[in-house]
Amino acid sequence: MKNIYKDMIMKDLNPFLLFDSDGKLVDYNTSAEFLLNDITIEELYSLALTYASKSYGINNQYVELKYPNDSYYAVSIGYIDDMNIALRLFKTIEQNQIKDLQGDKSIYQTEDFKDVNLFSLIDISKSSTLLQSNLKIIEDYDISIPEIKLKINSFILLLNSCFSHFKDHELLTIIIRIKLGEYQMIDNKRHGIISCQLQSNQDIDTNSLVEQKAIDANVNLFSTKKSLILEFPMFIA
Amino acid sequence: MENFISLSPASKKIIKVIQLSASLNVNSMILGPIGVGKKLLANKISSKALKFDIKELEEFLISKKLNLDEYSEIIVFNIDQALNPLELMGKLSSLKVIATAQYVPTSLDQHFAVKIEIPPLKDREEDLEELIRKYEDEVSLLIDYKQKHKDIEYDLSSNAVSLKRSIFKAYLIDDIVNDDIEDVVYNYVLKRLDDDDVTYKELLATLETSLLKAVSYKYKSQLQISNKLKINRITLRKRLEKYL
Repeated sequence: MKNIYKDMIMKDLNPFLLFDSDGKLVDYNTSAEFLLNDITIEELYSLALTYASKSYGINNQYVELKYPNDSYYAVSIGYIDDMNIALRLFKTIEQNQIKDLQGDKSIYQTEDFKDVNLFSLIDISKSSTLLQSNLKIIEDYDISIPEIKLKINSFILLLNSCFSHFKDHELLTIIIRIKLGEYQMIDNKRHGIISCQLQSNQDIDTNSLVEQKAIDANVNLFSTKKSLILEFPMFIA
Repeated sequence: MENFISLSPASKKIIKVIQLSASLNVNSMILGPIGVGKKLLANKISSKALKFDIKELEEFLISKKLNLDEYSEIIVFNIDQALNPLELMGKLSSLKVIATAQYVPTSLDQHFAVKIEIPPLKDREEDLEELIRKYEDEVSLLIDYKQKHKDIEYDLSSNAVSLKRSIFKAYLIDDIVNDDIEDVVYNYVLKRLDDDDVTYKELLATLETSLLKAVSYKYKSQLQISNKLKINRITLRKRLEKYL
């Protein structure tokens, strides 16, 4: 008889990884394959060790983890001997999925979305929020990005919140790119994805207010220790 | 129309944001204390917009004397004094709103994507110097003074408003002659007479206080003052005790 337990784990929507005692990956499921695009094996092994129970057993821990393609609300770590340790991450249900249709129109065809030059929005938000800051800014823009459709007001409010995290920092690098080879299907139409990365040389501390603003602006926001990354579909004007 | 002086690094950045705001269809709020130039900057974002002080606008909207459909942009001065900010923004939702305020009312935070905070004049050294020059030039058109005043105490408590007042006051005081004083006193008394409870004693006290302050500044002892003004020393002491 086939092992139903293993089959269920291998096809689970939540990533599952099994490490040996040296932190080498012994086995993993399909979802974990995607996760490994965002985070290294070493970081995942370290995560497992951080939240493992003191003695043999399984420990469930609610912890918020954000990676470029997914976010997670809990981890489960189990070990029954000293040979292996298992890690399972539980995906957060995305609140920020862009709905395909608003009535009979695509979302970007609604009145909320207006044609705009992305760099003007970055410029106005950066200049007004950091008016009295001594922050040094390095800009690395892909200027081939054309006018796109955005929810202008919500988008600037989100940018303001993001920039305000860097007010007291020394250096900020803004990198704006079209993500190569990545697309988002909305209303059966393929849209490129723009990534706007705000990278500091100091640690940042985000709050839930920024996340709400990202939802309002239809932007995927995720953070690392020193950076904030905004990703959004490129609705061409 | 007056121009916003932008010689300091902070003001140069502000002008850049103002120009960007003018080109975008988003609401902007210009923030800062009295006299920093909020109105001038609001006009720079849009010269063709409707312009209202908040009280005036609220009255128009209540009386329904204003048809907002005919306009695309509106400047609202002192929006932080709105009685019901949210209701107001609901009524202005079809327009690009440029507002001035001393602070951002919490309920309006989400309605204004662009917020431009103007620092006080004391933090904009280059602008302050230029403003002083400008106001002295303006005074020179009114008063033919021989040389520049060197001891003006620039009052920056209300930024450009109090600065201008302190400069004009200093030059006017220098220029004043006996007839002017009589005119000033005459006008002052006329105004005070509108008060119900004004008395002769009160009016006299105002004038006498200035007199006693001046002589006390000039002469070190009461003896010198009494000699100079030919006033009995006991009387002088009584007056000084009463008014200073």
